[in-house]
Amino acid sequence: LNRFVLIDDDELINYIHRQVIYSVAPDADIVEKTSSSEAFEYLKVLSSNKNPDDRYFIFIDINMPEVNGFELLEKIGPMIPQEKACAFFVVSSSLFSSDREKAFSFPFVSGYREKPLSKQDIREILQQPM
Amino acid sequence: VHIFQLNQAQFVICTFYSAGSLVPSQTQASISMSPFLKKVEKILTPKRDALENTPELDILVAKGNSLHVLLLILLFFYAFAFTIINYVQGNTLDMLLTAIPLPVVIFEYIIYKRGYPILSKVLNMFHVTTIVGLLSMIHSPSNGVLAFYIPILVGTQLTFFGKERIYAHVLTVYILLALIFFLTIDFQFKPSLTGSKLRIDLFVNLFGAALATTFEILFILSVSNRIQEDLFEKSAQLNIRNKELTAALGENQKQTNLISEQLKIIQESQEDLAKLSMIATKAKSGVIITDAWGRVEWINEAFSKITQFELSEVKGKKPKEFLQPEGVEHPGFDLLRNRLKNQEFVEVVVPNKKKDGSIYMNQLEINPVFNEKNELINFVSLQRDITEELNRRDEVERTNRRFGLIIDQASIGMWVWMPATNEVIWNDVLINQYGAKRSEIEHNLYQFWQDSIYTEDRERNANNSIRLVNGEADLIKDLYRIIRKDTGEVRFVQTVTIAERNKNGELKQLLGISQDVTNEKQLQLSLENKNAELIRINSELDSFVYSVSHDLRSPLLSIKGLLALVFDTPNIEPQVENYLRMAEKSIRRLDDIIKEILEYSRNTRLEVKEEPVDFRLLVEEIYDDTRFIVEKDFCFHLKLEEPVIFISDRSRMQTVMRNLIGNAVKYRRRQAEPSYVECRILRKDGTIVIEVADNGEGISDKNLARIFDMFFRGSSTGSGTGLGLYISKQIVEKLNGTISIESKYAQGSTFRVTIPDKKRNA
Repeated sequence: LNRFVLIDDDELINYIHRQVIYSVAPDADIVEKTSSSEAFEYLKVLSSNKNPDDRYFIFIDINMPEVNGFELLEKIGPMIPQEKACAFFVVSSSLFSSDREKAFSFPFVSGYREKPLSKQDIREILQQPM
Repeated sequence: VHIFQLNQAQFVICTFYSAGSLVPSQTQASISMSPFLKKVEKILTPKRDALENTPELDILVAKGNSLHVLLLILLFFYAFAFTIINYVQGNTLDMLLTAIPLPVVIFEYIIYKRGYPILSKVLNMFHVTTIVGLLSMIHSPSNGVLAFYIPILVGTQLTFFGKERIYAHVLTVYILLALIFFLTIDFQFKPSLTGSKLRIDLFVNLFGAALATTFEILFILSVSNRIQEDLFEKSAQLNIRNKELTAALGENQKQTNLISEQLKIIQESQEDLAKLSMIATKAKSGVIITDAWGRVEWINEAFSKITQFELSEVKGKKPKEFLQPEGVEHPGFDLLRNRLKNQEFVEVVVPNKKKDGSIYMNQLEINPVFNEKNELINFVSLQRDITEELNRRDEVERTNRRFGLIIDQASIGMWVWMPATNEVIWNDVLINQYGAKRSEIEHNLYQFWQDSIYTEDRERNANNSIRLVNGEADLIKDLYRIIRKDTGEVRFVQTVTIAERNKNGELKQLLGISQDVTNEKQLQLSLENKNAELIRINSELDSFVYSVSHDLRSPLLSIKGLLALVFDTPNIEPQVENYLRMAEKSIRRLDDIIKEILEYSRNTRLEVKEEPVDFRLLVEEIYDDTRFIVEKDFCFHLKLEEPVIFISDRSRMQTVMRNLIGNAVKYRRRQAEPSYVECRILRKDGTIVIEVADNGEGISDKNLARIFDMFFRGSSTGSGTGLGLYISKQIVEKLNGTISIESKYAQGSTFRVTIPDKKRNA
């Protein structure tokens, strides 16, 4: 089962992304988190009891109030178990190439995508080997 | 008859004899008119050799000899003949009388021959005629003819006094008269001698003899007087000469004494030795040595060189007499006079006069010299012409004054502290800097200064002073705060303090300058504040731009996403879809504008980075991004023979290249043969030249000039924002490069970017 976690404070973009994902993978399980703290709690639980058959795709926005995307990545970094199929993607509207570089500085980040995600993006992500 | 005969004989003898005496005198007269003095000299002068050798006398003797000897011989034979006659006749007495001249003549001959002119003349004075006359008077008192001897006698003496010519004339007349008289009168009355006649004859004879003797005595006296006078004259001259000699000897003696005294002094006194050796070594110093009364005894060459006076000119004079210029007043003269009067050492500078009258400044050092009895014997004066030195000193002072003026004008405070006396001197500018009045702070400048320094700066200041005094530093620059005495305001002073040390490294003085830089400091502070403010604003702007771009773009991107969902929806009305496509296009353009504004703002704000840029990677990345939006037959060329990696700001270069390549793509000509864009790069003369060429629409000449202007759009084709080339130009200029374009309308354009080829570590 493909499980998607959308972390973005903008609910509209979460909605758009959810629709795009459904249009490509109608049976996907999608969870939306609109704040970093919520997302952190969720990911903490997820890392401890996770279904080994599922694939996790976690989309994190950079620009969020309080704790931004990069800070969240730093916090959850140590908790990520190696054996679990889990791909992190940084999704941003940023135009700064420095953001892209910074995103790839995290070894467990699989990709960087510009908002809004397109059907093409989802297809590519799903085709990626875990 | 025999008497007659005798008298006749006597007369002839005497006549001849007198003539004989005359001859050398005449000769002598023709040679020298005043031989007498020389003869006297010959008697009196001790140096007779010199006089004897005079040519006059040699000639005299020689000439006299030849004639005189001849006459003497004639006379001898004549007298000899009469002596024989008288002998034969038996007149014994007459014979004796005529014989008398014979030894005399012989004696005289010997004298002349041997060259004793003096003796011959002495002999003349006791003339043989006188003897003969006196003897004949005894023999025959009536012989009046003897009276005629008198003039002969006189004439003979005259020759002694250089009156030979007169005598020669007188004698000639006399001989003629005597002959006439003798031949006429004598013969007549001789045979008839009577008693009365005898008396007359006797009287005449006696009278004549007395007269002759008197004359003789008178002349001898006259001669002796003249001799005496000459003697006096000569002895006076000799005395003078003697005195000169004595004086010279005395001078020599004195010099010798002086030298020996100096030698003694040298031996005795180490200090004087040093002084004398100083005289010797300092050959440039003039030296005068005077006696105890200040009269010059000796000067050295250096003194002559300075003043042009020679020793002979100034010897015995007082230096004052020839050195002190008339009508010039100088305090040094009084000092000199007083010290010398008290026989004290004096060192003074006075104006003096050279021989040519020019004035020079003379640095004098006069030492009185005493002997062991502590009596003043000499003054030794060292002299130096310091006129030029003084002039130079004047020049230095003038320069100093000028500097002083500059320092005052430049508002530079100056101070000096001398540790030896603990004296502190401030100039007026410094006192003004501290807002004080000299009279208020003069009594304790140091304390005032310490109190004026801003409390927080005091310790640092004190440490600086300690470092300078201890020799840890020779120069310290500092900037500290002081509190003005008058206004109480805090002022900044920029100071430089210099420690001046002697050869041994001991501190001579601390010297400082101080400048009130409060205004400059305030300016600097406000500048710094403004700078910090600007940096703050800049960073605020940075985050503002960041969040604005994000916040502006987020809704835009949402719309974009929503539109994508709409287009994905089946069965949309074509008209609606058309509207939505137009909306999407509009949104993309808005997004482009936001992107470009962001790039522009980043270029102006961010520091230029220096990092390696691989041209191939740079271009290919852009090509890859662009490839999806153009037709399949669009050609992307990259002309690169070998990898080129240059040092620049990668992000900025990316923006420029993206714009240029983007333009080539955007404005491609669709109807022509396959469109292309070609990127080239080459290193040339320390620059990197990048060219981006296409065969696109090109730019018309009228637009070419404005192509890099802000918001200028040369083409209605495509969706340009009018910012791309403007931003590119700004970036290239930020990288110290240039950008240019060659373009032909409807044929294509070539952009050329030239940037410095920096070294990797530069």
